[in-house]
Amino acid sequence: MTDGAPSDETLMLRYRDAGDAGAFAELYERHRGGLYRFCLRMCRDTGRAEEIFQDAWMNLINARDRYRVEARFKTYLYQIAHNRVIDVLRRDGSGTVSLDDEAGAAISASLEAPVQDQPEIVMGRKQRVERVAEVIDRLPAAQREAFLLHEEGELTLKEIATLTGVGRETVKSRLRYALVRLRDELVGERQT
Amino acid sequence: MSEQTDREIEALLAQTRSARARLRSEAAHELPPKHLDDTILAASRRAVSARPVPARKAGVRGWQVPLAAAAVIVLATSVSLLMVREGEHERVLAPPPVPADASPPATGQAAAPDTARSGEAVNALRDEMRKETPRALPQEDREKKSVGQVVGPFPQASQVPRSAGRNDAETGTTAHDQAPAPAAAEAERAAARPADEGSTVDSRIKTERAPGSAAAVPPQPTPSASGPAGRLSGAGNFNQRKPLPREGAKAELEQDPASRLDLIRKRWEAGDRIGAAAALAEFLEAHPDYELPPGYPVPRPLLAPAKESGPVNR
Repeated sequence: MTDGAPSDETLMLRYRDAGDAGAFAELYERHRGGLYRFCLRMCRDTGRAEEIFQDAWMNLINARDRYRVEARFKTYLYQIAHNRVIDVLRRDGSGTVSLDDEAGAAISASLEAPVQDQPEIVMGRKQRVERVAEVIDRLPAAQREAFLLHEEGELTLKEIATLTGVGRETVKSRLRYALVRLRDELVGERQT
Repeated sequence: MSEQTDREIEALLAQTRSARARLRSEAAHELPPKHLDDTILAASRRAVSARPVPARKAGVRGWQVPLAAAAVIVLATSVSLLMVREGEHERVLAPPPVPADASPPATGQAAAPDTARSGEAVNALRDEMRKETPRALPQEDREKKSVGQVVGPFPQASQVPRSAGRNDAETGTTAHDQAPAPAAAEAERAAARPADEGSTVDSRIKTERAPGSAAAVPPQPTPSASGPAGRLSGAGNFNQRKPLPREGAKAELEQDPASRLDLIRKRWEAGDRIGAAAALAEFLEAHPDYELPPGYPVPRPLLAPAKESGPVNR
């Protein structure tokens, strides 16, 4: 967020109190990518990620009168998404859905840019994203969530602990384990 | 432990910074599809458009109408007050109307109704001034006032005799004689005087009853000389007309002696000592042989004919 721009909380209050749809559009623009990737990495399924993503925003719109500035807006938004992810994973009975093809297709579809039309560039980017996505996908769900909230949501350890309902030390342990795994994979990739 | 974990996490974040940056830069293109954006933004607009009116526009319209109404009310009230005050100001600055007949009549001519009204107003004003400065009136005016306001600069039309001046000139009577009840007027005037002056009525009775005075002043050959009023007015320097007897005196005359004495005693006890004394004198004249009951409060007149009183001319 640049200096002088209204904060997320201000925009949300403006949307809640004054019905400023422009404020909501600004909020959506700020967080749509991070939340979508969070949902995508957590579900490993584009369809369910879109479902969770849409449900999270719709819950925010419909429950806007219950919004209170007790924490950062980002924490509030990711809390909604987190609860929805848990519901979806419980409903489906497993969190082991692979991101392989669907994720690659989705990413490829989102990379349609005129300057990036060269096949080797697109292929190399796709391979790197797939490799990182695979590393993340192999993480346990709790560690993956802690890592994604830290990377995509840019939440602090305390916020992650509050959001997931665990202690701060637990969050630190999960995050440390995820980072070690990512480091080891990336070192092995370089060596190979 | 915690600090060590923090340091370890910081080191891991530094080691994976390049990889994470690459992940973020590469994954930055992972965005929700366009139809999701449209759906969510449309839902956000729909949710707020269901509200009645935006607060800012409603506020502008909300205070314009009350402000206009308040301005109209204030303006109307101000103009009304200004008009009222201007009317009062003109009324104050205007010269008071002077009626042509406001001056007191120089002669005893009959007063017109307008004069009577203006006289009433002046009398009311004079009453107020009298209340404020009661001691400023001269003694003579106070005496005149005590006899019933007969004489005054602006008498009432009903109080002004039509030929008062002529009557005074012809009969020699005074304004006191114009009173309808001379005895009552006399009593009031006597009451207004200091107590040490004594009873004028008693002195008159004394003069009448005295045998010597009877010889010096021959009695008037009037048939009503036996009446109380006629007797009081029978002196030469008094009114020769016979004022009507009071109702109470007439009633006393028609009663039996015991009742008359009782009434006289009541008058005495009520404070009308002059009237009681006069009535007792009259009673004794009518009933010279009647003996007063023992302990009768009203003193017997010195000149009253009584068997036990002996010679009265001492």
